[in-house]
Amino acid sequence: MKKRFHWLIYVCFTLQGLFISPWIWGNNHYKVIAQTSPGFTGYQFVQELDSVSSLRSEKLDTIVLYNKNGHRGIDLNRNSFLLSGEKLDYSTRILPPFISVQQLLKGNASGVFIQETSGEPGASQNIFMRGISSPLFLQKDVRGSQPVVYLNGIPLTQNNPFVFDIQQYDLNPIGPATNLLSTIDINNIESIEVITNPADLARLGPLAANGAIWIITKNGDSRKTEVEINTYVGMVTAPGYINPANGVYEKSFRNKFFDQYDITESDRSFPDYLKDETNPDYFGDSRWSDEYYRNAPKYNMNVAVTSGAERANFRFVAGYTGDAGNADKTSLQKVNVSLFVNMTPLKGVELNYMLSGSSTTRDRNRNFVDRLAEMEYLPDLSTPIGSSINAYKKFTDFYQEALDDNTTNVIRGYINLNANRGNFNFGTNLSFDYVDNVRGVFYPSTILESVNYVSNYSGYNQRVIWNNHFRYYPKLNEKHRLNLELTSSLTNDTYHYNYARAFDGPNDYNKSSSSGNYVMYRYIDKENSRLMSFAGIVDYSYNNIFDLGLTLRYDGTSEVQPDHRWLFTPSVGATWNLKNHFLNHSKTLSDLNIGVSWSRLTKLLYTNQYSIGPQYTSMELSWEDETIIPSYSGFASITRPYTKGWIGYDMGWPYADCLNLVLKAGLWDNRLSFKMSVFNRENKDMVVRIAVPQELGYKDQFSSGMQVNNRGIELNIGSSILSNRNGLNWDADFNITYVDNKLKKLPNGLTQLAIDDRLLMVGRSIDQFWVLKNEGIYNDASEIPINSNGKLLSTDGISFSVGDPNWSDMDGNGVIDSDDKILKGHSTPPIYGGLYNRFRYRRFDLNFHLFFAAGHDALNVRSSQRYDFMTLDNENSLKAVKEIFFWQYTNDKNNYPIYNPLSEVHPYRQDQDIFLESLSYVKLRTVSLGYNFKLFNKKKSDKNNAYLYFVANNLLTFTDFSGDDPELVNFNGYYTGYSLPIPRSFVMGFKFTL
Amino acid sequence: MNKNVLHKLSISGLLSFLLMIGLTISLSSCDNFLDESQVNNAAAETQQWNTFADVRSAFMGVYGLTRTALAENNSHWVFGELRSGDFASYERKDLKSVINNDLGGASKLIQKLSNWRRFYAAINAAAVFIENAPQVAEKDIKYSEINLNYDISQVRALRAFLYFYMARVWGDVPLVTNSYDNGTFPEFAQSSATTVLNYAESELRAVIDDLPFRYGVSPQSYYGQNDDYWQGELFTNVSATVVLAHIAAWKGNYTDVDAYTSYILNNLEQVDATYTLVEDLTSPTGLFSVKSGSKLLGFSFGFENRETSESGHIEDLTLAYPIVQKSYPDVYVPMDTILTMFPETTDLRFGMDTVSMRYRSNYFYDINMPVPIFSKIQVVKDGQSNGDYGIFASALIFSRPEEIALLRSEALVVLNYPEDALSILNALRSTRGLRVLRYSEDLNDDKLVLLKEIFNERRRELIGEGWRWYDQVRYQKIVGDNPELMALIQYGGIYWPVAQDVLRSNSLLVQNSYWQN
Repeated sequence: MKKRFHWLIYVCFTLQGLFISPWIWGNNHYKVIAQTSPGFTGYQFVQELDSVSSLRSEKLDTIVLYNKNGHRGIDLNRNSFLLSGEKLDYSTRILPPFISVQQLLKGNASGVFIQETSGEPGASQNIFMRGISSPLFLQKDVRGSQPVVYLNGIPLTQNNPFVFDIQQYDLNPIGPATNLLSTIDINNIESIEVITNPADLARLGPLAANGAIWIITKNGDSRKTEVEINTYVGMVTAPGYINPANGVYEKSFRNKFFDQYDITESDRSFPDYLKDETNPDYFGDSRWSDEYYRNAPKYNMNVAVTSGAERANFRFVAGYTGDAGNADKTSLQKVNVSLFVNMTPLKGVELNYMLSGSSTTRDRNRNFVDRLAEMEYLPDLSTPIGSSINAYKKFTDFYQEALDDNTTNVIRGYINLNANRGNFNFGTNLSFDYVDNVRGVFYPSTILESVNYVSNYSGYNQRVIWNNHFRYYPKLNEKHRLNLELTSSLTNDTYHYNYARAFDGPNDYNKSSSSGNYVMYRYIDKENSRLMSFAGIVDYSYNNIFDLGLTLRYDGTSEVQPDHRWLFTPSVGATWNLKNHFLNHSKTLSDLNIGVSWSRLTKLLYTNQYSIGPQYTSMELSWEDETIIPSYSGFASITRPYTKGWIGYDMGWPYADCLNLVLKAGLWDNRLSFKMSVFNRENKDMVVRIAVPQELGYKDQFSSGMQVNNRGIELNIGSSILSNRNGLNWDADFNITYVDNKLKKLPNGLTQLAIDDRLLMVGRSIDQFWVLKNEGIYNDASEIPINSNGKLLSTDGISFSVGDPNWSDMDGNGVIDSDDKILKGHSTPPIYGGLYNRFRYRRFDLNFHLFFAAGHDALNVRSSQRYDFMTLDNENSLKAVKEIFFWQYTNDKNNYPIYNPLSEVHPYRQDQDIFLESLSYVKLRTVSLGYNFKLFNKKKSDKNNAYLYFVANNLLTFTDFSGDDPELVNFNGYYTGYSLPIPRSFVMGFKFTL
Repeated sequence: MNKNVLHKLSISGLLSFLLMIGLTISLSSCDNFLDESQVNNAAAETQQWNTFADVRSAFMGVYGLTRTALAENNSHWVFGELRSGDFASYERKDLKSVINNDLGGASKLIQKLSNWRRFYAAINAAAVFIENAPQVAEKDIKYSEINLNYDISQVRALRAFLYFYMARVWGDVPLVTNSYDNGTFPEFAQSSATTVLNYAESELRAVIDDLPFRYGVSPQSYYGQNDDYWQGELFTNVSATVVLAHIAAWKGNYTDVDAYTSYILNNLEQVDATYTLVEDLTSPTGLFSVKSGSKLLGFSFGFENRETSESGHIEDLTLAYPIVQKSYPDVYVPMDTILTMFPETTDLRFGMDTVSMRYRSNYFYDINMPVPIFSKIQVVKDGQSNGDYGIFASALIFSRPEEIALLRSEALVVLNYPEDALSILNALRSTRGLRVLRYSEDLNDDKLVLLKEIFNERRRELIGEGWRWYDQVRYQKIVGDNPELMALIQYGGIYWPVAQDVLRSNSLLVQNSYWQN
């Protein structure tokens, strides 16, 4: 019955267009709907136009109109910044030499925090909008908390983290791991909007539950014919702060501990490489950094042609970009080609399409840790690479034989058909996004214990979307405006990969898994998920004073079990323009708006694994620290998912109830503008793993019912401090965000839940570290507490003694264990923001951009590893891997106590608060200077000109953090020091339009 | 052309296009659209337990999980070989504490090893199999009653074996015999070790008659393969008897041991098992590498099936350069211990060539190194191809004829048949290059000296196969000359602690008394 009902709805929605369309086309009078982009429906009111030929350009004006004047309540919250069409002059606007959308966003928009955890070009970067709504334990969890990025209305796919299912380490995904948001042609971006308002997100649907980034590209334009050339060249520079060291430093560092405790020479255990002080690899020069770091070029060349006639226009763009890291010879090259066509084949019918392709190749880092994690093979780690330039060169020479090809090819586009008749509009749109990821790896036997390694990865993400909308906008009178809309949407996602790898082939000549008699291990996986949505939208506006928007959605997804897969969610938003209502004649006050919205947003699960409920899997025969063993005695196996976790029935959609308040004001013709948003978001029915009694073979089960609250305030201030037509102009934009997260509920009434090295506790934040409280050191035996049984304080059965750390016994039971760990710090920043200044004097303009984040912390794993040498010397794990940059003077905090190196209590364990450090920072990100030649200034137009600019990036950092860079911290707040530095770069660019 | 005509033509084209779309949609319902989704690496309940292939996969799953339970973190060897054993840890503190019987500490290794979840995963898989396999016999005619009977019997035997294994390691453990396969996770309290052992014993007795000596004897086949394929891979009638014999021995019931071991030794031919020559035992392509009926009970890691692994083999702990690329082994047998263990120079496993005065070291690689490498078991990759890539394919052998022979002679001594015991021992000794011992001349007519000699022989013969610890416990239970170990036996210190993780998630469990703080 229910099935039939859905079916009926869909047919009705589709047929509505059929019935109404001929009636629209039959009439000679028509109106054109201004629509920002395909597939994106119901955003703003229609604009009546006289001529179809000016369609495209008028559209842009429409966008401007609504952004600027805020006619629409739900549009109020849209951040217009940086590249926004309205505010900045395109032709003179400097496009920073960034390669990813995340880099463009960083520090530029309120409500968005960007994690750039490595300076390696094209490495993945995380976006968190309005805080984190679910705990981040694994890389997978990060994927589930990312906002969706729309490119001209196409929601772009992200790489599926299901590859981690076959990986032993949660470090890098197999495959090229390219940041898919670096495949977009940055130079062709016209505007980026950050959509955080829940009423807006409700209209975008479940894909946008974590927030949305709305990118509009430059497009065809019937009004102009122009050729635009934009090119830049520059350098990334080697970091200045590296202070290389050799074995002498390491040995003296260790001796400090032995000296302190008068340990005799014979009891000082040094690993072999520190014993022989005549070994030039470890005790010779330490000039490895000469080879490792470098200055490297970055460049870009972009050509765009735009032309148009009355009925059609197009834009063609081609670009080539090269980017480089300043360490480990990392780089990225990409080619972008895009074509945009807009046509009016018939009166009242509009046809647009886009076809965009890119190819990105990357030279990735050569870190041992990344390589070993990928190989899932731990060699004997007791002897690290030497610090001398020869030792390092030997490695890089061997590495010449290696192969590490990473290519990401993307093709995406849309075709969009819109028909208008009277007060009706019907549109249909087909979009696709296809990402092809290919990686070929070969490591010669010379760089790893005579074992060579080969692997080939080939995978794709494919998304196809079909959207329809039908809109009715009756003309009531001047004061009342109404827009009614019905939309439907189908989304089909497919993710697939093929992966093959082999170890220890007969020779180093065959570098592909398809040759050379390798014993191959093969992996294949495919996931297909579908989403189906219907929505009804009502927008009503009264006299530019009151606006009301209502969205009713009905979404179904294959990710949810059949009996719960359809969910109805409402959303409502309203604004009240106080300025227009009461202060229409005020000269000082140019804008005063207040808006409120409430939405229930359905969240996707980003996996199909829950949809089938109790299940069987073939992945259980292997174990921790072991690669996949698929079979027994050569026969495939299938078992319950014992280590993965039990999945039961009755798991529905997670959803979020969001409340949003906005106050927007402008003074003196908006020379000073101000916007404040306050939000509260309850994320409900989220899935979490909870522990179960282990006597049925399971460790835990997936349970739905976790609730997390996010709330916060965003503030934007825009000002035009100086404004002289021929004199000095100074604009300044400032944004700041405060966000907070709190765990409200766990499934089954649990109050706390320990998962690996994290603890979730109801009433506390979900991003806190779980650490022992360190109170210093036991200098005297009398300081060591004795419990009620007369036993000395102990941990893991070992009593504390002098020279051991003083960890607080929080529960007072005389034993230090996980019950004594406390929640402390935050891995995501509660406060962040940015300041953008722009000075203009005649033909010069000078910009600088500062951004900051505060109140978050990192666990300094690098320090812990350095101090914990007594443990790691004897441990063969990824933690014990020493990279070449181990050989440097580190600027560790100097206040770590010196504990007895022979202590058995593991004094420098990672999970204690001495390693917790504040990460607050301010960075001077960009300074740029531009000069506008205005070569062809015939029509006093800004469009035809030549523009020369210089940009310096990543210039200064102010922080107390002892690590190299407070940004290079993993998503979970762990600072390992393995990330490549974010380089400082200097670029000179020239932009030419004619 | 008339503009209006064009206009209308296009409209109708557009119309039919839209109509087509509408029709396409109307042909399939919305829910069907959402049903057609693929879930990665998982099968829904409705997709399992339908066909012959489903049963086979689940059946192999039980075997695989059993192998995993024993192999994960090298459990079998850390439990059986390292604890108070002959190996010394080169540098690893966690292994050192196991060797020193110091299990109270919570090194990661001890935490992981003391977690019994992996055993219960296999036990649960067995229960799921037993409860579901019969329905397939009704659905798929390819799955015969005989096949079903074989499968269920093996799975029950495997479960009994796992319970025996757990009772040896932890003593009292929860006895769970149903799958509870419905999302409820009841808590279970520990049952006494005796109850668990009795359960294992009764289960094995119940199925033993249904277990054949060989699977798939031509013209029959078993899962498409013949008996040579399944040699040493599956639980046979003899395997079940081996476990019964060891349960009896662990319980001190040597009368039963006598009966069971006698049965096994009488039926070796049935399973094609023989004593293994020393060179075959220590060869990379020998007993540990190939299929053989001499693995009375064992679990393979076939290289040809990509079932090799780094851990889960004694080699992971014992091998080092130049056999694999690793500076030093994690554990080694110190030279003094080697010399004590192998007092006779003629021993083919380790001895002295009296002519060249050089060590004969089939068990050890280059005895002159400061840290000698224990190389008795060294199946690197398939054992044949070049390469020192440290993955191993050696089978986990629980028992082979030599082990049963020695167990039998142990039983015979306890039951006061020293001469019979000695003749079995001598038969084995002769294959190892050792002279025949005479009861009166060499052993002073003393049962205890004989018993000690039998256990010394076990120590030599079975080193690296996970017996040393249990042998010591059994020896002490008989002889009781080591007060330290006797105290451990008395206070439950021979058992492992239960992992904190396990205790925390089940309120009915108690820590083993010896390891309570």
